[in-house]
Amino acid sequence: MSGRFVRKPFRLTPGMVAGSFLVALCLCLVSGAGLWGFSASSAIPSEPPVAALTILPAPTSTPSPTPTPALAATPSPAAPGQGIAIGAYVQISGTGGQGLRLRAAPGLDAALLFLGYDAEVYQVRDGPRQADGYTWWYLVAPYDEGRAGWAAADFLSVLSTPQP
Amino acid sequence: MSNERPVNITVNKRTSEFIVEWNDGHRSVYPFELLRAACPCASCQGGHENMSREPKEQVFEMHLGDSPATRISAVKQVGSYGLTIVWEDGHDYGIYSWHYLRALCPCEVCRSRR
Ligand SMILES: [Zn+2]
Ligand SMILES: [Zn+2]
Repeated sequence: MSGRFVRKPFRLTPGMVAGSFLVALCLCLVSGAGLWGFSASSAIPSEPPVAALTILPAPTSTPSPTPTPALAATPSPAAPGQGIAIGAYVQISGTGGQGLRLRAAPGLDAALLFLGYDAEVYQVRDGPRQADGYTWWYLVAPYDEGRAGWAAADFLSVLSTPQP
Repeated sequence: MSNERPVNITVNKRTSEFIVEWNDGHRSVYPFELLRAACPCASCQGGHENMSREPKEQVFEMHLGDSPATRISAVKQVGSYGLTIVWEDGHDYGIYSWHYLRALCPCEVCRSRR
């Protein structure tokens, strides 16, 4: 590859580890379809009562392409880079956790500004530009106008088209 | 510290609404796309330095539409303080604390207090 990525492994926080453990414990204790959390006979007496969870399934006519998705193999909603337009929200995807480089200008030689994370959502503000064999779009983070830069379209998937 | 906790949670995949009835009687109806836009994980927030205990105001203006990223696959409780949502695109890093969820309530009463 052309060095667009920098390894940046996802880091578990202690809270997430503890949370995962509790979730696993919870799943062992309760197997009812509509139930979650801890049963009355929970080994952790300090747990407060938990909410009842009800999941109403989508109608079978749902446009969802994968009614029972295998999470590890769920494809992106559209081919990467397809359908991007100014104003659209896009998500970084498919970098394998390595992140996507956002640059000061279109092109692989442009200065690296920062790494966008997998699953991070951006709004498209400018583009497309062609450089070094890639299509580039100017992305701005919804929460932070300063978190912005040019990114290659290959690792972007469209979440929504611009609102009228 | 608030003591609001959910009593009932309904994930309505037909209407793409996540409905929480709270122990103080309040009822929150979250569009799936709002929950995804407000995913509190470090990735979605642009790094640990940008994470906050309250949802950012901009999430209410984001309309992500319908895609696997905004469809809920499963909901899991995390300890006694929150939940995680497994999205159909496989994302499941965000832990929505009860506090965060309540602060995210999009109803007019809650929004006017923000
Ligand atoms: Zn997230
Ligand atoms: Zn409210």
